[in-house]
Order: sequence, then structure tokens, then C-alpha cells
Amino acid sequence: MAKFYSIAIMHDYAFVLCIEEKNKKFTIVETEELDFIELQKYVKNKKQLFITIEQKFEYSTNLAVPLAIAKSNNINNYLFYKIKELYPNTDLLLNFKKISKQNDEENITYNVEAIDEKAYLEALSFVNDFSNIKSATTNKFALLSLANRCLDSNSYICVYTYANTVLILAVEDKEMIFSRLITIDAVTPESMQMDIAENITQTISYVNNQFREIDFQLLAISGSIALDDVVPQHIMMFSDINISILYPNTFIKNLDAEESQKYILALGSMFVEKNNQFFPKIIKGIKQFNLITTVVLFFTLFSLLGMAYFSFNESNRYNDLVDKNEMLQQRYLYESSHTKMLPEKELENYEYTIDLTNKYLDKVPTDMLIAIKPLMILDKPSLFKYKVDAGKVIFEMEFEKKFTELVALYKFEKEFNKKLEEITKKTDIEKTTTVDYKQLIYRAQIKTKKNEKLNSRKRRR
Amino acid sequence: MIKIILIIANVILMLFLYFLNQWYENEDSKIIAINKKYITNTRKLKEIEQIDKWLAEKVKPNLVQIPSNSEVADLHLIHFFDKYANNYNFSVEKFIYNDEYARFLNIKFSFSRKNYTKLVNFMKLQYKGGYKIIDHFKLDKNILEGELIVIQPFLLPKKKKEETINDVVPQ
Repeated sequence: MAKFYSIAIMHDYAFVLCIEEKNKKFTIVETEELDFIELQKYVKNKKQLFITIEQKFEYSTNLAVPLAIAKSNNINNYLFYKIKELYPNTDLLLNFKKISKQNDEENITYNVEAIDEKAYLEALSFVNDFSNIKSATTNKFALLSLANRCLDSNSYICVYTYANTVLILAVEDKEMIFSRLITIDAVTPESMQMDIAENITQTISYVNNQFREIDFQLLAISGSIALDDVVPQHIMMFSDINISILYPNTFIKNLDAEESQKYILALGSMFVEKNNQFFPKIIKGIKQFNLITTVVLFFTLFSLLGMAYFSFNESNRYNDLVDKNEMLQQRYLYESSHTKMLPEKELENYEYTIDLTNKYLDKVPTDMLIAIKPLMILDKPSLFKYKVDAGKVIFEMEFEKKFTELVALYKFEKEFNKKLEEITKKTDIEKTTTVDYKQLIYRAQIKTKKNEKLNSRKRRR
Repeated sequence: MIKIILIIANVILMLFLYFLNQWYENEDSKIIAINKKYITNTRKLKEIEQIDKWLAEKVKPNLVQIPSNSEVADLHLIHFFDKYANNYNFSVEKFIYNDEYARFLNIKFSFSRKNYTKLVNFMKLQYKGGYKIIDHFKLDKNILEGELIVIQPFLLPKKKKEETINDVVPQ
């Protein structure tokens, strides 16, 4: 729920509304009527300020700008110097908008609103931090904005009165085409009423004469005049125009009809369009600076969060590595303390023994003997000849086994042949087996091949 | 003003985190290198442990003994011959000769295979401080006969490599 403040300044008085917005519905939270000097204290530390100010100097005109000037900055400068010629001693603050109806082939006509920047800034001086100003304008634009919001008519005349001040606007297609601020100097209340009625009637006549092509369908009255019967009756007597009271009852809650007239300008300041707002360069600069610092703040904040995330990951990784390091160190220290470092002399002795063993036992065919061991377990050989010749093994074995039962012979034959097959696959030997089933004798002969001697394998250490 | 202070604080924190991350990365690299070294050295230590075990189990019982001179080496061979001559009917086939590092004695042997214990003892027979190699043998139904060569190492071979245990053990 957004909370903001609408402030209208009239005759050194400030009318303040504290408003809450929810789903485009506005609820008045608080109303204040303050002296201008109290305002500074009131708005301190308050954000979202919508301000409308009474300005004595307001100049409005239509100016034609050559088509050749196209860029917004150049148009602004052109208009500024045109008006500056008229008011050379005034610091001007401009607002301009294109008038589509009055264009020709060579020029584009702009409606220009100028105010005294110095006086305007002075009026805004109650605000400590300009970046809190959401909208700032003059009273006639606040009135126009509220009237446009409340009225369905496209062309109308709008009147606002407060004390001895009368503000009159003529509006066509929701755009202000005429404005007049009148200050009445009257002695008695009765003469004040008469003067106000007379001035309004005269202005209506002037507007009707000045803008004959426009049919002003409505006179919308607001402010003190809306609570008065005499002045509207007088106006009705002299003008053939429907009179209506400006009352924002459809979208404002918690503000009664009579009280709302006091805060008409404050309410209007909420709805002022951007091109009807006046922002001096210093305020624009502060707002831009504020915007930039906000963007930079968010950027740095997100970057910081990102870096914090990376740091967190790095920290976790570092902790994991430290843990692993400690674990590896412990394992290393354990291995280090459990591993005996042999003296160099002892190692040399081992090395010498290994070298000599490799040299002299290299030719001993242990692999071959291991290979034929399964056969020797089954039966002791009847003949075993063995010779090492230049590192190569030459051997011959004979097996002869006599049985008393055929089944024993059969089983032995199966097992012996199976073992023999396995050995033949691994080593290059000749084999001959014979079985005498009459005598129940199993015979086998294995030997190295005639032309090829079985190579002994090198011992590996 | 608060925003400016927050931005400055954020930037300072970002710088701090940047340098912290740099520090972490450097430290990570160092720790990774140390961890690799630990892993390598631990593996080397385990290998050394296995080698030590193998040396103690397989090599230590068979460590060769280098005699002080050739005469002592010859006497070792002769004592071996004399010690088992009767048991296995030893006879000298080729008397002591030598190569670069050792001295040799070729011995003929012959004994009945019927005495199984004797046969097993002969096969298990070792020459302490050197080597015993069976050059050839013939085993028939009655007798085992053949020739063995007894080798007595005599001179140390020249060292081939200079690497010491300190090269593989982390300092």
C-alpha cells in the first residue's frame, strides 16, 4: 500500500493530505492545514511529495517554431530565448507542448508555460531533500488535472476560489487554452461575492468571445465558491452555461464533500501529468542523481551478493581442501612412521644379492618345473631326465601306472590327460599317451620338441 | 547520503571479497599442490613398505656373504662338498674356477631315489651365502644322478645407479 503526501500552497498556507493508494483507490489518512513556516518541519523525512504552488508570475503563450528545429533541446532553447526577450531579468522555467491544430507547412506551434524559477524554487524551499518530490507544479495545472479526472466534458470552464483569489481555466479537449488568476480587493464580504461573480461572468464572456468555435458545455466550480449559493446564482443569471461542482467523490475515500473543496488543489496535484510539471534543473539533477545512485546501489548490492556467493563457495572449497590436506597429512605421517627406512649399507647388500641372483639364477628353469608339478602330484615319474643347456631346458619324463580296477584307470586317464592338455597349452612340448586296457596300465611320455628347446623364462623380481 | 555510504560500503565489501577470493584461489592452488605431493609421497612410502617386506621375506634369508679373499671363498665351496659328499656320493666334476664376480665348483651326485626323505632333503639343500644350481639330472626307477654347480660370490659388482632411499622419501 503506497502512502504519499499532496501539498497545495496558497497565500502562505499549506493544505496537506496524507493519502494511501490501493488498487487505484485513494483513502485520505490525514488532513493538515499548516502555516508555510510549519511545513518544513512537517515534511521532514517524508517521501513521495506531490506539490502545487501558487505562482504570481505565470506566462502562457503560443509560439511557432520552424520545422527545421527538430530536437527537443533545440526547441526548448528556441522557446526559452523567445520568452527571455520579453522577460530578460527573470530566470525562466519552461514547460511546452505541441498544439496540433495550429501547425502549418513551415512551423509547429507550441503552447509554452513559463514561471519564475527563482520564486518557484523559493516556494519549494520547505523541502529539505528535493529527491523526495514526486511531482511539482503550479495551482492551475493541479486544478486542470483534477477537473480532467472528474469531468466527462471535453470543453469546459473551471473556476476555483480561495479567499480573495479566483483561478479560472478554459479547457478544450482536456488541454488548457486559457487561464486567469484574479485577486479581488473588496472591503466587505458582500462586495467580495459580487466582485467574484462579476469577474467570473466577465471572464466567461471573454472566453466565449475569444473562442467562438468552442462550445463550453460546463462551468465547474470548486473551492469556497462551491460552498456558496450567492455567487453561482449570480453567474447563472448572467451566463447561459450549466454549473457543476467539482467533487472527487468517486475515487477519494474518507473526505466529506465540504472539506474536499478546501483540498481541491492538493487533490489535483496527485494527477498532474509529466508535461504539466515544473522541475528546475537543480531538482532534475538531484532526482537523476538519486535515480543513478539507486541503480548503482542495486547494482553494487547484486554484485556484492554474487561475490558473497562465490566467496561462500570458495570458502567451502578451501575448507574441503584443508580437511583433505589434514587427512592426507595424517595418512602420510602414519605411513612415514610405519615405514622403516633401511640404512644405505643394508640396501646395498640387498641390491648386491638381487643383482647376483638375477645373474646366476636367471638360467634356472623354475617356471617349467612349476608347470609340470600337477603331473608329478598325480604320479611319480618312472623316468625324469633334465638338462640346462645355455639357459635352455631339455627334459624328458615318463609315467607308468598300473591299476587293478578299470574305473580307477578310467578316472586317472581323464584327470592326467586334462592336466597334460593344460600344460601343453602353456608350454611347447611333445606328448605321447598310451593305455593298455588288457593289463590296466597307463603310460605317458612328455619331452621337449626335438628342434625346439623350451625356453626358460626370466625370473622377475 | 545514505545511498552513497551504502554504495561505498558495498564497493569496499566487494573489493574485500575480491581479494578474499583471490587469496582463496592462491591458497587452494598451494593446498592442491601439497595434497598431490602427500598422495605421491604416501604412495611411495607404501611402495617402500612393500619393498621392505619383500626384502625381509624373500631376500634377507638369502643374503650373500662376501668372503674376505679368494681362499676363504674356495674353502666355503670345499666345506660344502665335504659336508654332503657321503650323503649324496659327491665327486668333483670340475674343480674351482671363476668368472667376474664368483667362484664355481661342479659336483657330480648320485643316490637311490627309494629313500624319499633323502631325496627331499637334497632338493631342499641350500648353499648358504651363495647359490646351488642343478645343471642336469636323470631320475629313473632306482637312482637319481646328475651334476650341480655351487657358486660362491666373491667380488662386489659395480653399482649401476646412484639413486638412494632419500630420493623417494619426502623430506
